[in-house]
Amino acid sequence: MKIYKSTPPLLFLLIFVSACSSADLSWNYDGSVTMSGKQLKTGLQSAYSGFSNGEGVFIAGYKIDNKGINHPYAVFVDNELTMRSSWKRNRKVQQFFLYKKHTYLLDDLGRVELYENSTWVESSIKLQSNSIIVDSNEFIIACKPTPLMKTSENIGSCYSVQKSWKVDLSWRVVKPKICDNFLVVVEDSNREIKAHRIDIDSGEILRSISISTPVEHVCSLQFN
Amino acid sequence: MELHFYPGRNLLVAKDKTRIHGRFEAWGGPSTIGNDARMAEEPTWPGQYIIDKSHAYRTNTWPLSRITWGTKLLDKPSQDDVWYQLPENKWGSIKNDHKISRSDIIDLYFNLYSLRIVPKKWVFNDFGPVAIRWFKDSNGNRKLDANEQLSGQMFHTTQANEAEEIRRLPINMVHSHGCIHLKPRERDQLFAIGAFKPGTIFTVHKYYENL
Repeated sequence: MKIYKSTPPLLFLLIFVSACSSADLSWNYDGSVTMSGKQLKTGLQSAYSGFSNGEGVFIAGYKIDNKGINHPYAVFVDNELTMRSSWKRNRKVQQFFLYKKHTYLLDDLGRVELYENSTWVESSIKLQSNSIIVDSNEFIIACKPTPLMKTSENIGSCYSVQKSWKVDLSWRVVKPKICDNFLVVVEDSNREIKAHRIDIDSGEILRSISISTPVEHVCSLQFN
Repeated sequence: MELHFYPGRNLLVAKDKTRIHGRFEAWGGPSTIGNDARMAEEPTWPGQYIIDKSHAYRTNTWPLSRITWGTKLLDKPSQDDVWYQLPENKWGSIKNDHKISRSDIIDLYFNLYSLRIVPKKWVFNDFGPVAIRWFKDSNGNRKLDANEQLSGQMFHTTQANEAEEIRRLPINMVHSHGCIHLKPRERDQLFAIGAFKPGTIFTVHKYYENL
């Protein structure tokens, strides 16, 4: 447990550590984007997800009004560090991703929109609510985390709509990953922590191992 | 005053030898072991118990219950984090300590209260603001002795039912993992009539039994 004495000055310096970067462009949790020492304020007061498509960076975050209400937004900043677009969203943007050379947006209801002519267009891809994209190279593999609430009846899962498979898996903290063309999922929400290697074409669990702690670098797990 | 729980009827009765003081909706665990991979649901075990203390409950078993209900929060939007108060005016990062992001907290609050805010206090503990504990009294002295222990099953409300009460929505009760879920207002009524006074005899009846 990290313990902070309330708001030490050093901490404010650490805040500006970039959340993610691509080439010279990097986005930060405070909603700003930096490039070669220059900083652009996007108007977001909190950012939690970013994605570079080669032309710039898409960021998902919130604008916070004077009542403390967080309004979900997506913004796009190009590689010249110019703010190109800002979209107010009805639902939280879960993630941006690349699929068949196009940029898509996934929201928390599982709706997928295609980025086309500087706007978002509803696509035919439908995912489950609260999903994240794990892989979209050839087809989409998505996973849904185990809900936080004890009374929730659902558990987590991973699935492919195009390949028509779904596996129930109670993961939450450790994000599933593709390792050597297999899907690796650590079930970290059960009393017994297990890691699974899954065939991405069929969804079949090929091998499972018990582990003592939920490792973050899932590709380093040995299934032999 | 005695308490009698009829799990097959979702009914809790507070009574003494002369009259019934109140009937309350109360949902225990299912009648058979469930299949929740996180922790299997279990029946609320029949038997006679003694009511002990009431307190804000905290457990590492469930992610949202690792922080006590009512713990002060500090929003840190520019760090995509929320801090929670620790003893001695220190603060911890919920993201670092409990792997729950600011976005998760906003989603949780939105699902409960239809507002995308970071609340000032933690209102997500699965056991609500107060849990009422009981124990099996092996020597009949109505006191929790060193060789006796509090049951892992307890009376409590849920964060969802607390939100419904505040929003004046219908209270949607669900089965527990073995505890007994109460409605927030009825929990307060039970406290008011002294039903949770330490030392009170509490009987969990079998699932097929009725009043």
